Amino acid sequence: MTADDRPKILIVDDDEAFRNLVVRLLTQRGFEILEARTTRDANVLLARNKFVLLIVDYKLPDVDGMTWIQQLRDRNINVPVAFCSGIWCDQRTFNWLRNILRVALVLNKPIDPQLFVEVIESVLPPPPKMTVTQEVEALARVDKSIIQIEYEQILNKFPGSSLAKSELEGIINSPDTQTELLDRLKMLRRKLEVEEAVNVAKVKYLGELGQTWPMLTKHVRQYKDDHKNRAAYENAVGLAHKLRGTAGSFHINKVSHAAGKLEDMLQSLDPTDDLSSEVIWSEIFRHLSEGEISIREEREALGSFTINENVVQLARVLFVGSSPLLQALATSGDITTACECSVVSTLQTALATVRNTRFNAVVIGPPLSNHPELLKFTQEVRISEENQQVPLLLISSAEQDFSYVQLKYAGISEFLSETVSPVDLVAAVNRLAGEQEQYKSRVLLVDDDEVLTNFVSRVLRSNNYVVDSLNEPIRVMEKLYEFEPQLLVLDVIMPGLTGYDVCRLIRGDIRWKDMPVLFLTAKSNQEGRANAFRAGGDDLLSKPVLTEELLARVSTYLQVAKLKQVQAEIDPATNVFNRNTFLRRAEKLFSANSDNYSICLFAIDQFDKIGQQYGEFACETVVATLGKLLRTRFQPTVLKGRWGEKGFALCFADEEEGAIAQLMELLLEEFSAMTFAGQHGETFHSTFSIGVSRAPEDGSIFEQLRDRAVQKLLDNIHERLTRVK
Amino acid sequence: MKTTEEKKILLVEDDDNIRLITRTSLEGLTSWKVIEANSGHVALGLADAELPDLILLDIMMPGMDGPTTFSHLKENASTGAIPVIFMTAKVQTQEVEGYIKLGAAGVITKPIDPMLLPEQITSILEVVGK
Repeated sequence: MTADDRPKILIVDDDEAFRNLVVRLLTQRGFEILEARTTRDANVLLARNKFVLLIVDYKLPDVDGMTWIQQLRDRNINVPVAFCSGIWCDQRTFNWLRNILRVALVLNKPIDPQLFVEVIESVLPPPPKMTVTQEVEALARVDKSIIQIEYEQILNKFPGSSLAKSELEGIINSPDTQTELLDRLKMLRRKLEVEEAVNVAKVKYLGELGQTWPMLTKHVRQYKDDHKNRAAYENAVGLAHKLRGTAGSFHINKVSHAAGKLEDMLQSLDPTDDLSSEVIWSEIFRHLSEGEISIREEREALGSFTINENVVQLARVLFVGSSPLLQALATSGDITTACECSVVSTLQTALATVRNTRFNAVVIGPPLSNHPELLKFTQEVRISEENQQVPLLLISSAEQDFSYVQLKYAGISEFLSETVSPVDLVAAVNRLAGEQEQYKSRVLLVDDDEVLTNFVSRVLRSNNYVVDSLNEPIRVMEKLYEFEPQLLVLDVIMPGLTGYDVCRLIRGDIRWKDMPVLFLTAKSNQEGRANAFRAGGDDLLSKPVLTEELLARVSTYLQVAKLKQVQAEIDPATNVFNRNTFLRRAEKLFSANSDNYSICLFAIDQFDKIGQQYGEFACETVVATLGKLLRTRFQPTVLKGRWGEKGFALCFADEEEGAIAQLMELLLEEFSAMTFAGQHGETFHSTFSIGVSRAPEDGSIFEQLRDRAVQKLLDNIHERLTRVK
Repeated sequence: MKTTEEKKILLVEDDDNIRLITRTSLEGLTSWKVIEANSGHVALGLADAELPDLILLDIMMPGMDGPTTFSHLKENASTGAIPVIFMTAKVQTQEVEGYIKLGAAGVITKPIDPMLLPEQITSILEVVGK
């Protein structure tokens, strides 16, 4: 093989400085780069050479890059292309490039030199290794600067490795020839890469150990309890044997040692000899606990496993009531395996509990389901900091003092009979808890590495985030619309589109302009940080991902995002959604429930008169009070929003027309009974008018329904005014 | 067998993690290519089809264990001459001698050190003259 057999790359770009940069970067990596200023030159070169890749600019002096690629494809020339342009392309252009022109990579200028090499190489087969004689020839030409470059690259790429530190010193200060030096540096680099790969695998293995070791303990115990249980014995010995070899190979030496001891001892155990086996059993259990402690220490040393990311979070359920029926439910096996249950017997203690602890569901049962204070209790739950959105379930007999509508008004989501089975109760809790997901923070992961996305989503899910992942970066805009995340975790190196470019794409859309973006990168040095910020990222996470760091960063950025979201979506005077947000959500709810759907609009009557007669402050109080009333009534899935200066809006899915009318009556009844104070201490009452529209009766598109509700409200106001006259 | 030669190695091991470390080490530090088998049965088929230059064989595996796999390999004319190195987490002197007498090239003990594994293999093969 001669030097001319190096894999060839053709760069087609009229910018000489850029061509020079690319030539310099890729020649170093063992490629031969041919240059063309125009597509005409490029065609000539293409006819005479075989290329592994074309790097093509968009703006060229003769034909533009995209047209030229199209021409190549038409001529059935299918060589991989990296499209590299200074003009950012939109998603349609991108799709065109990827799907029609089959471009392997879309890169945006200015390029980051190191990243450029990395992504270019990611789409190419590695350059063939040179034979020994060629290597000798090549090495004879080694000059000092190459050694310097190799040395610095190792230092930069493996900043934390003690192997790198200790060996680099030795190599640089050795009296070897330069060829030998370079050889040793190259070997060191390969070793460091192996070390890094093994360390990544070790993190995963430590996760597995958290399950394997308890399994070993279980088998050993089973065998101790029953000496005839050969299966348990074989399992224990087999597992111990395996752990000895594997844990040791990851340099988890204490665990390997403990497993080795266990294997030996189990094999030397003679169950019929009571005296000696007594001693050996105590040793066995000592090693079992030593292994367990060592695993924990290793995990803590890695700083990544202080929480068990494999635990499925049980729904927390509060049972309120003292009847034997409720007690039996709360302690039944079906429920305790699926839920973490607490039981309180009075509304008062229940209230104290919901104020302090967050629950996924509250189940109210006899005798409290008939308690006169029930409606007051549910209202207090909605005011509590922790459980504003908690679903309330009611278990009651057929003889109820409260009507169905009254209970609906109180915000009960689910009605169950006294004969409800534990399984049905669990199903109801899980369904309602699932609906609550919309109040949790949502994180989207974009990474082509499924192992990593699985790991990261598991960690985030176990910490109460809703997580979705996307392995194809190009679908990101679609996914954003569909999933509506509050935070994005974005890998830098992905096929087709780099994370930096995905970020620029997102930032171009007003809706996602402010969403926090965290980059995942193996390059967390100063340059990597600079690139992340330049691309519009908020922060970066270094690979391998450490659980603690991940959680800390995600939670910080989500808090900020949440504050921003509240500012953007919530009406500050009443704490319900502002008009725009209400409309957006109501429309979304409509698209899923267009067969049974209602919009209710309210306007406070004679609002201007209240202002003139009782003062501005009284006006504010009336509005705030009605807002609070709406917030504390109806189940959480009912949308509540502000509608203009004196108005509000509600949106129900799956509620019958008759029930809606009665609910509105109850609301008006409660509101008009409230007493307000004017500026001079005089008291007054207030009322409101309502306009309701329903699907499918009043329309089949959202705008129709909205306008119909407005019309009905105006009609009702008008009617009231004529009546007053 | 030199680390710079392009050789094919069949790795027979039921533990995913050990396979991962071994492959990472050998492919990272040498020009060898690693083919993996997670059981003795798979290994027999692969050995016959691929005719590797070396077989690394775990001793304790569920189903067909290492020594049984080994004897089948030796019985087959096309795979009989391929050098085999046993890998095991537990080695007693007599056992090693037993395997060598059977015709194994050598034994590597687990835990393995990924940095040293290629050297271990080359020195074992040097002794048996491969």
